[in-house]
Amino acid sequence: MPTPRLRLLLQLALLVPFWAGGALLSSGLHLPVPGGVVGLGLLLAALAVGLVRVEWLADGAEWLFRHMLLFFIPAAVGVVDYPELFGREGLRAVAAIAISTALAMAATGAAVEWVSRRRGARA
Amino acid sequence: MSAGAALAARALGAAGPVAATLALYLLARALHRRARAVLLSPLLVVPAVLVTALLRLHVPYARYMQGGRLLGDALGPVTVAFAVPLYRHRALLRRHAAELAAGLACGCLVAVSSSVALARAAGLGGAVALSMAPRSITTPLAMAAASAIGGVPSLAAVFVIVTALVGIVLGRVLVRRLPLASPLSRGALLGLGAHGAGTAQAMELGPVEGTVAGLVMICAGLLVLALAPALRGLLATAVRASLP
Repeated sequence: MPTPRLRLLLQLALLVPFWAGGALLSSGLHLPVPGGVVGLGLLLAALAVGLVRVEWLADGAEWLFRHMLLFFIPAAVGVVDYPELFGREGLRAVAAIAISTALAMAATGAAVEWVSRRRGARA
Repeated sequence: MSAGAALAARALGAAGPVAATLALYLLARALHRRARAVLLSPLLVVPAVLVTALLRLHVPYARYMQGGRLLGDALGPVTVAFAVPLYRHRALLRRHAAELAAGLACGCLVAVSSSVALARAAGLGGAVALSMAPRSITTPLAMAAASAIGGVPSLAAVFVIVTALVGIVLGRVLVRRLPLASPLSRGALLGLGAHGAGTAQAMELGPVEGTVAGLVMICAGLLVLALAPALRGLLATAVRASLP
């Protein structure tokens, strides 16, 4: 019986062949889809045909989602190359994002609610 | 310099940024556990501290990325792992396909178009405005979508973070104020509006809300990424036609 830590490592390691396979396919066939997404498709197919069981990677996936933030911090630091965003322009960008987020949230909530009420009324 | 020495120098150059990022992340997480304020979120604190440090120490971003890239590469496996919730909740996805499709279509349309339009209205440049297009989807997919749309991936990552911070505040208000009877619509609102941060918030509302938010977050990301090549021409024309 592997220790929890080793189990987590094995679960994470199981994602690597799908990621690498996806990356190879994506670059080899010049697909317009990034390797990670091709890997997602491959894993979904492997789960569907029963080649991989979902409990083999559920904890590893959970762990990655919990720490996802760490992995995109380096990209976000790239804002150093855009000093204009540290002043007024940045504040205007934040305002645009706030308004757009409120609109998108309201539109999504309303659309889902509308369809679910219609379906509920029919049923 | 021998090949071995060059390799050692590169490893040393990469170790600093990785160690600094990791240490700050762990510290910020521990702090955030004690005081759960939005402004103390590691999402904001860690990049802010790193940006300040690079500027003060005159370290170019490219130099930091010698190590930073290694952490960024882990977003590939994260994307692959999105298959797990999609597969696990396939029954829910099938049962509520109509509701979720409607929410995804409306939400993505409004998010992408209003982001770019408002960015232009706020006087932001073309590349900056285009990098805003995928800001409502999760980072690994948003960065890929940004480059397909003609934006800058790292700017997209920044806008995704700002969206998360803003979304934590707005999501709380909207979920309470809007007349949404179904847990499905509350979850979809949070997942589409504020991706990972919204999903974490939806988990606190209930298990259905949390699951739906996570699924909507992934599907919205895949949808925007799939549409990115078509959006590229459309948005480029719109950006050129808009005034500033």
